[in-house]
Amino acid sequence: MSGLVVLDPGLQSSVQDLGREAFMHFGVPQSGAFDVRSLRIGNSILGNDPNAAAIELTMLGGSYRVQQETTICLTGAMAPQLNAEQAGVQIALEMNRPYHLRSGATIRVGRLLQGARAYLCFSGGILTEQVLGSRSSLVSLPAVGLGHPLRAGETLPLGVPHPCNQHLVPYDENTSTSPVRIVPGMHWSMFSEAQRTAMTESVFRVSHHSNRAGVRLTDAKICGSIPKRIPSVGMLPGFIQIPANGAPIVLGVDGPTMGGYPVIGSVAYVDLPRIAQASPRDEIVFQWIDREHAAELLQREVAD
Amino acid sequence: MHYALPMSDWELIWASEHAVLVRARDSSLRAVDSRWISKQLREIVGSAIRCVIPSSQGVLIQLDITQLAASEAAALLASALDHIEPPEEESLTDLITIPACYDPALAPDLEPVAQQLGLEVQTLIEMHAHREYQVEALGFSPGFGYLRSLDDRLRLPRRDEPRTRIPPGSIAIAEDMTAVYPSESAGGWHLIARTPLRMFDAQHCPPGMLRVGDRVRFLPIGLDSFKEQEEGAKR
Repeated sequence: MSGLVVLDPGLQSSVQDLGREAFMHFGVPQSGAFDVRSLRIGNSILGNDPNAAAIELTMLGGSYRVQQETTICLTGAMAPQLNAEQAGVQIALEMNRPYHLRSGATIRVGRLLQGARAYLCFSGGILTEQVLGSRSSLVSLPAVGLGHPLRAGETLPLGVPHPCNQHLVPYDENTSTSPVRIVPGMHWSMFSEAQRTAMTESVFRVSHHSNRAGVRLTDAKICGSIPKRIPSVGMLPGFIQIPANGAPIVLGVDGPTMGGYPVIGSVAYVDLPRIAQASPRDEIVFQWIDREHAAELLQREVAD
Repeated sequence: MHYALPMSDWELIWASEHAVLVRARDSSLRAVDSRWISKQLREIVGSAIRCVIPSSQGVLIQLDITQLAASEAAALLASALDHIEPPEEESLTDLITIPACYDPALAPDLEPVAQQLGLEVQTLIEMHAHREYQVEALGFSPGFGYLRSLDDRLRLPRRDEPRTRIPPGSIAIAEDMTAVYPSESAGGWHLIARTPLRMFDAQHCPPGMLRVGDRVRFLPIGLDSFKEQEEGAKR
């Protein structure tokens, strides 16, 4: 026996890597870790390939038993109750630190705080079958056959652990209250000056009806005339749609590849993890930046 | 926001710092052209294109701007658009025949829709099946093709109450479109038939039966034939 047994899957936990991009023209969403930065950090700490698959945890953690030797690391939203139990001894674990576990150890992750998503990463990654070039799960549509939310009792194959490269990344508590940066979108010209200003002068709140397909915003609305439907056009994660009711929807990684609502803006790529970590009731404020600035931020992040 | 292409009818509209919409100025594209342009741009620009989503409203392109700066990518796309040769029609689009069982046992809205439209069921079936459609876009769920155009006499708004669970293979109509639900999902269209074909199979490459620009026909089949073919598809 080897691999990882799911004892308690938490809430909509799923296997995710960097996602699949090559099939969007067949209507297949990219999927992949919503907070890509946290997955990359976990894989870097463990010396994994950046595309190694991990478990994306949402709001609640869950519990898992390893049936082989492995090294783990938890990144992303803070999990204050994080521990491992092996040979009857319980040890408290810290975020962003690698821990070597023996076969039979149980990992428990409690409720997540200061963020919505955490990544439970394993040395060598999770080795479920690749479908359409990725191990990522399309959680919202399990019938499609691109993965599913984890189920209690299932076993996930794990890679062979390798030595860590000791590339430590200090834990950054996701407590930033600075505005989420956005750039003008493809239907910018359909919106009035007042509507564009309302995007940055309103305080939005994350709705409970948010998931990997889209983060819905409430508490403030974009008023004034908005085209009811536009002819459907391609969509990408981070695009901000404004339906006729004026309540913005930020598309997530499992979002539809085509949409019929006008897009006022797009979340700067480097700030998409902030959207991934937004929990229901959290406040969100936006700030317009130009494309060149957003591109510079992305290039700087990749260079680091 | 607009990047004018010299001497051409194309325009590039930035959709974010890493995505651009290639659009025909002041008009919509034919679906088949959007697919052709997607293929050509991918070949010319190469790995700096992360993904393309064609539709009649333009081709949305996601770029890897860490590989190629946005301004350089725009220049490359612009020059590529100038050099694209028109497609050879026959080589590009497939005519796909989808067997369709118009039976109330499989299509709960067939009779109510006929009644609502003031048509005999048989007339409705003929109006739907004796027609060639084109795949305008793929989206909503993997492999879901928006097929145009439905006979004017079959136009209905979407259902007020979307269904939470539609069986895979359901053939539906709404507004001026028809479609096949490739996998079990929620949906608000009217279900008038069902196909035994698997329209999307993640284990196959290519995974979907339809591509933007393809032509589609429905071939009426009986309930027995449906069951036989459905068994065959499972094997």
